[in-house]
Amino acid sequence: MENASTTLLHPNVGWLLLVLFGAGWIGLGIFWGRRAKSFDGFMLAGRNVGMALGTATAMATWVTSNTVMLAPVFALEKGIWGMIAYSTASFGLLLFAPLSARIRQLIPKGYTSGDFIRLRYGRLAWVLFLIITIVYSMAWLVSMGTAGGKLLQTLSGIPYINGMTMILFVCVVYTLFGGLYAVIGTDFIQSVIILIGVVLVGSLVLFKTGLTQVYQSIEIHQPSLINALMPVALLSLFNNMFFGFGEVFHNNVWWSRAFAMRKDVAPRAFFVSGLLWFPIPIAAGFIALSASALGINVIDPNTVGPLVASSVLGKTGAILVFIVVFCSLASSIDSLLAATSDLLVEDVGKKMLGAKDNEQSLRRISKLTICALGLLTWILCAREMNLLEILFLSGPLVASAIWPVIGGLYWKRANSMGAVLAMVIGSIIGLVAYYQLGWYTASLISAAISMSIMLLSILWSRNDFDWKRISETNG
Amino acid sequence: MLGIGLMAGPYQGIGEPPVPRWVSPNESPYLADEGKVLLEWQLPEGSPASVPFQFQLEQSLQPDFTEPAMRYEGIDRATFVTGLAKGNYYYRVRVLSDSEGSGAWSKVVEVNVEFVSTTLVVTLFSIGLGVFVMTVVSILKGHRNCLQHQESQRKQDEGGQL
Amino acid sequence: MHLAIPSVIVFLIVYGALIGAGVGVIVLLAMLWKDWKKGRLW
Repeated sequence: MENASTTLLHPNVGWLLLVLFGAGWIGLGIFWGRRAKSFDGFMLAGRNVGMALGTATAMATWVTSNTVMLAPVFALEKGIWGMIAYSTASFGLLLFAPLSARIRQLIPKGYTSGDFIRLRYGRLAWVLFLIITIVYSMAWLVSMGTAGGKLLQTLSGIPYINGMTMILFVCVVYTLFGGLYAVIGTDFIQSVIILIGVVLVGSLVLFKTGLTQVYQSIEIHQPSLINALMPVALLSLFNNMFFGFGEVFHNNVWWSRAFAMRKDVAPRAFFVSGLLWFPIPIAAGFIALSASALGINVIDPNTVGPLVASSVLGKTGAILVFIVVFCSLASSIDSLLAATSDLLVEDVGKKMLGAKDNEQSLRRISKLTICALGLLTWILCAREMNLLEILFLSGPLVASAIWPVIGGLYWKRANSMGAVLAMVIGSIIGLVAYYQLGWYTASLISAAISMSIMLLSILWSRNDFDWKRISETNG
Repeated sequence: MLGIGLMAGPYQGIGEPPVPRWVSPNESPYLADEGKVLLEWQLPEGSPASVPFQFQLEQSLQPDFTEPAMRYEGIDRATFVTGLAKGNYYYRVRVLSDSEGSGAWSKVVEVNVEFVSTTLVVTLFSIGLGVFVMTVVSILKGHRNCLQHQESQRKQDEGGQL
Repeated sequence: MHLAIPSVIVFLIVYGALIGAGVGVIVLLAMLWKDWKKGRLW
């Protein structure tokens, strides 16, 4: 039961912050949206995004509210290794750097990841790929919406439906007006706020508690947290890594950024974004380790981050957490809205349903799709559909796409049959493993099986793919 | 007397302090396979509701509590314990009182911390490491071929222009 | 199996992460400045 006196912030403070920042993002969205003179401008920010904005948007999009809220939970339950394991999610960004270079080389005028799969592997693989990516994207979008509503309620007592609606509303509006320019521009501001917020909270907590005291307290009361061989952390290390690889390598959120950045910028931007992202789970997470040294009684592990922040820093800590959480939500939701609607417009609208290829109608369809996507997300969030489970289930799905993507980009002997079988069999066996063996095996097993099938199919293949079939076709 | 106890403090009511009952874990012994457990307790029906009771939670490695460690003291009725090393732990909780004898201890609940088998961890870790290395190596090799191809293309173009 | 991570390593990890994130802010702002001066923002 939340009431104003038991939450960390008063609802009015929460609303004030939401309205201030929300109005800011919308204003900037409208302002930057005027740059979008063409369809390419709207969808891909003119394909000319520079290093600073490119790096920031990749980093901010990968920082979700999970990063900020779950990292402390990982630290609390799995210790030092848990935090570091979370940080390895940045490897997906690091490895996408060379992939993005190849993407620009092969398909410079492309729009979506679906485009590539269709040209490279044909329609069957394309349809399978679309199913995987739409399931994952919707699960991510809806779980961000529900997480946002719940977090705002926990932090400030704003009722779930109101908070969730406000977040979605703000994101839909500025994405609608500004397209990818608005998304990328706001991402930069949000990334700076997130980094400053995390550093401030972390440093202030560190200043007040002293790491020596924290270490000694953990050594006595919670020794597994400093165990270098903590079984729970080691068990899921690579599983989570492949979930992350699958997410980044396949999803249009990242491919659209590869297309939006200047050609020479994309690989460097992704690489630096990975480096910038790496410390965030550790900086955000370690405050949970201070709980026992500070005598803070943790009852619900899911709120340990804001609990420690506000116990140590009072209202300031709660406000900082609120702002950082709001920014991390917005930076991911706007990217998902834009990239998923791009995929639906380009792959389903244009290529499947044959929508007219003129600028105006495409722009109109894009805007309608963003609205429809926002509405669908709102409906699912309003029913409090717990899509977190679906998000976890999508792990083996996206992990099965890792090797089809890598193989498709680099090896001319990678073929449709291999890609289709890799995605289908990898997904199915991964899902079976999820239920029979445990969640911490699903993505790992899916990736391993998908890899084996791709490699076998390459060994068996007699034909070489002609790369020109991709680059000659205009996207 | 009961009404005065509005500030959190030891039990000052009439008669014996109530004895807490475990809500979580709901079975003893309880297997905590990740070294974490939610300890939650409640007071029996009919306990005075207006008194903010203070509780004392003890942890021991022996069932007879020969060397107890204080795990929590305060007014909350739950605590989430994490980071326990492998072994057996015993918990008991009681209401704190300012008279010589505090409330009676609750029943003892036993928590066994057992992690998943080392074999499983090593197996999954090895498979993961293998697939990880293959993935990284493939990407790096593919990238290098790309760059070489780009170089030779550029040289060809330049050669063609001369 | 228990192998305690020494406190000095923990210190390095935590301080390193905080400093790293702080440096990240500076890097982003510096890159923004550089791009803006050369008119290469977007």
